[in-house]
Amino acid sequence: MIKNKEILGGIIFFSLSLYLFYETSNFSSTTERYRSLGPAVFPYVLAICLGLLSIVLFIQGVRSPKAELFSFSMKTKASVQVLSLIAMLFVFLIWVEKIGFIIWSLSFMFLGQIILGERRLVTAMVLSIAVVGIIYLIFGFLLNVPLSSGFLSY
Amino acid sequence: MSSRKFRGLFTFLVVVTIMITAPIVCAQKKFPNKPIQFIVGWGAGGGSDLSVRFLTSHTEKHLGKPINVRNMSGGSGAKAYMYISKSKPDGYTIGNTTSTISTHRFMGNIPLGSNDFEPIIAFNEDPGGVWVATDAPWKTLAEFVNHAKSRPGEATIAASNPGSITRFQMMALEQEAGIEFNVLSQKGGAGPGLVALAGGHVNAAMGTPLEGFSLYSAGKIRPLGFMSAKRVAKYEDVPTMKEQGYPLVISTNRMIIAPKGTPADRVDTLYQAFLKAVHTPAYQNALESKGSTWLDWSPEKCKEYLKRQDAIFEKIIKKAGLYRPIN
Amino acid sequence: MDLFLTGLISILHPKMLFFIFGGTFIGITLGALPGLSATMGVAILLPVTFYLPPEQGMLILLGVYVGGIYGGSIAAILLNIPGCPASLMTTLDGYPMTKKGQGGRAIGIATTSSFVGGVIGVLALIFVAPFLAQAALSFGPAEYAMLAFLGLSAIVIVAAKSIVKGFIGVVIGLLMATVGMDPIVSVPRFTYGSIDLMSGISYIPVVIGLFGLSEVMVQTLQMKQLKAVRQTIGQVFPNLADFKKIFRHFFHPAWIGTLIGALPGAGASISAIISYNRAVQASKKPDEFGSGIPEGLISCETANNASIGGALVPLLTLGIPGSAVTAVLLGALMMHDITPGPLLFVQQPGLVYTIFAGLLMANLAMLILGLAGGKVFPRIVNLKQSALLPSIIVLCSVGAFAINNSMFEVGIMFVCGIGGFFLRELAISPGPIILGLILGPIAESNFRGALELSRGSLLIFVQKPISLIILIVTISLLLSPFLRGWLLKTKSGLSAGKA
Repeated sequence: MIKNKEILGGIIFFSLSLYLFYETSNFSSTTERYRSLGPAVFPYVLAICLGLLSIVLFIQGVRSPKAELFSFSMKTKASVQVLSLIAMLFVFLIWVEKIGFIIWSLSFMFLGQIILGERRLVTAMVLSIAVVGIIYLIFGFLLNVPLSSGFLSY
Repeated sequence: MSSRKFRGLFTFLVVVTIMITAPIVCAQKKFPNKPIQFIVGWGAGGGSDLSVRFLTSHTEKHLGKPINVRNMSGGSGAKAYMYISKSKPDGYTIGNTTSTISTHRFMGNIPLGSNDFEPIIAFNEDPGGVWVATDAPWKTLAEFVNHAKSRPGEATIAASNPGSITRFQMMALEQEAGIEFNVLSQKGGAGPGLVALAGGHVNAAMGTPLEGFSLYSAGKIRPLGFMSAKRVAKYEDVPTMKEQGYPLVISTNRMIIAPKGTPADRVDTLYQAFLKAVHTPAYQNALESKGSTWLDWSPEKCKEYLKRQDAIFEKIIKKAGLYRPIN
Repeated sequence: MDLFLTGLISILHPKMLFFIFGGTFIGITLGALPGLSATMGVAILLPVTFYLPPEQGMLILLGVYVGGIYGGSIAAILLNIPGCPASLMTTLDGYPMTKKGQGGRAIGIATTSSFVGGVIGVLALIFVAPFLAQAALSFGPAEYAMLAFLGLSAIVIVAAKSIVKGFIGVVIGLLMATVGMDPIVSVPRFTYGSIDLMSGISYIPVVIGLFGLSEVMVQTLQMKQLKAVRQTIGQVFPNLADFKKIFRHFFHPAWIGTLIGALPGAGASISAIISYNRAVQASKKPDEFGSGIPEGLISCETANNASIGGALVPLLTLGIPGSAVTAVLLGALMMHDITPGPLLFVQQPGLVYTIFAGLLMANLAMLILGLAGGKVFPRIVNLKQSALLPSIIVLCSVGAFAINNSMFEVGIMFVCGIGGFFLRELAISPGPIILGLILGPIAESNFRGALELSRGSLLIFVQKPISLIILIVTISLLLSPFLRGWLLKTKSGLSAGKA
């Protein structure tokens, strides 16, 4: 039944708008006075718009001849690559405070290149160091951004 | 593994090890022996941020080590206060406050108040004020108050959004004078409100002498009164609200704080350095020439003042019905 | 007039030129890196300027400003990541050109247009500043609200391929903008008790995620199919045909950019969208916009650099910042004991004219550096994908972190990256979402603020002349697709009837 993206999108956005209706009715009251529009008005109106738009989107999906749900298939190598990159990023971001920026970025660069097909380990390592080095120089040194040093923090 | 690859890997590991151990070795000498982190709870380029950067630029030479300013904006300083309170109390992490250090706890935004920190120095103060357009018909605060009294809820005034110091100052005025304004809320400090005033969109606007200085010099707006104990530099012919019969003395007070438990000798080292910076003629002139007031209060004086500041805001917040502390 | 020449001569001193070029270079670099903006650059260099005499300090900061607004276009064109919000619209026509292998040409056109726009902005500053300032002050809450709605309508109608999807994008952006404390009564909305969410969702990490991270995902998926199109570096300086186009089309973007830049609270990004909208509306071939045509680039690049001159108008004449960067510049001036305002022109004319001359020179520096860089930058895209893509991810993560020194923004970037990817699957492009996020607060707080002032009466929007004008423009914009369709049907109906 969900034969194309517009139908799926319509359903998702519609559910979202329902959730928004629920949330906006829960906004806390305020003792501050105001004359016209309270805090819930804008989100409420937007939720209505979203609801209507999602219905239109759904109808467009039903009437359209397209039958493709996603433009990529989960079976191709490329999809696996994307998934691994994102998963790796997620895991790493959780750990970055502990392992420190340098180790994090070096590992990510190195592993990322391998995932994307780089076979020559030395090249991968050199490029990793170069890129991380430049970024560290610009951000960490020039701009004084405190890139976390992980367990090296003194 | 081929020997070339092995050597490369080995060098890599050595370099990384050095980078890891070096800092630990340096940590053992006299305070401060490495840069100090200064957390600013407001965005880069804003009023608080600039006042801090200006002060720290004069302080570094007295401290001997650089002071790295880190912006951590969020919730009008709430996020920074939380972060500072959780930092190691070793004197290497400090931050700035505005009067919000007294208000957040009473409003239930965060469980921390002025008692949860070690003040180092108070360096700047700006009293609240009411401004009108230069060609407005009201010459004194009393005239404007009467105008507002005769039309409850109609006289328009621009003020920052609820929860900000400027807003509380306006509420205090309303409470004291028994009037009710039609308020235009603006985000981003008093600046946008003063601009709206200059453009004739509101009758009046709240703002400190510093915030209104440019438009005042440009001849667009003028102050009706300030909430200070004495008349303000550069505005000598503007009577204070106290003089005009409205005893309100409320200012935005800026201090530097450290996490609770920071050793007293380190607090003192920092205090001495900032004190020298505040006493630099360049610093004092820069502030006074724009109507701002510099301070040089010791940690003890700060603690005393904070008690008074807490009391003032607790009263206003309770009267406004916003009092909901978490603890 | 001789004061102007004096100012001009004083900046030709090698030291001053060094500061101007240095500042511009730093600005371009910072602008090009996602997550860093001209605002941050200026704030960070501020302490450096304390040790210098005011003229030199201002020149560095102005260079960073000019460079920063321009620098964002480089990343926008080559990587589809706007380096700063001003370059948002540049991705629409700049990136398609890179995909066609014309990255160098795109940079050349963008640089030249930026130069033209920037210079005109400065000239406006020099000659009509007081008049502009007065016009800027007359914009109050009602006018700002209408302007924001115009911008939102513009991006839906003009820049999105399907109006429904563009609308959905805008709504999503507007909803994201409501997260945080309500602007009028400070009630927390959608904050779920988190202090971070209490201050709302900042647009920079969203931009980085929606444009950068999701783009990397899309490119990884297509890596096998498209061998990266090799960029023909060739001639970066625009050829004669492109040059002519620039000179035919610069006028409207320039004055639109200057005027909107002069409005405190509206800056480069809004000028770009409104200028782009106008260009599409006025063009005979509106459907070509978005496929990589020079006219698209010219309209937004001219406008966003013109807005610099505009933003300096209220700053110098009244001491009111016209944009975030000028707010920092104001701080810099105040720290040096200089109060902007009419007195400034009288008491320190030398400084003022040095600023004017310095701005012109900074634009020239930007032109030179940009064109020179134009030979080098596109090569970055030629780097092999397996190294380029992880680098972009690391760069984006660091950039997101650098904004507020916290992982929260990185988290937002991550979520928006994945969300953006799926939204792209649905053909909902990121532009409308970002504009909804940026314009949302302006639209809502001013709309409600205006209603507060009028005590609930909606008439305020039609009673104030400027507001009324903008409202009419917005309504006709929204009706235009239907009008066009109706006109076409009527025409074909008539001719069918005749036949």
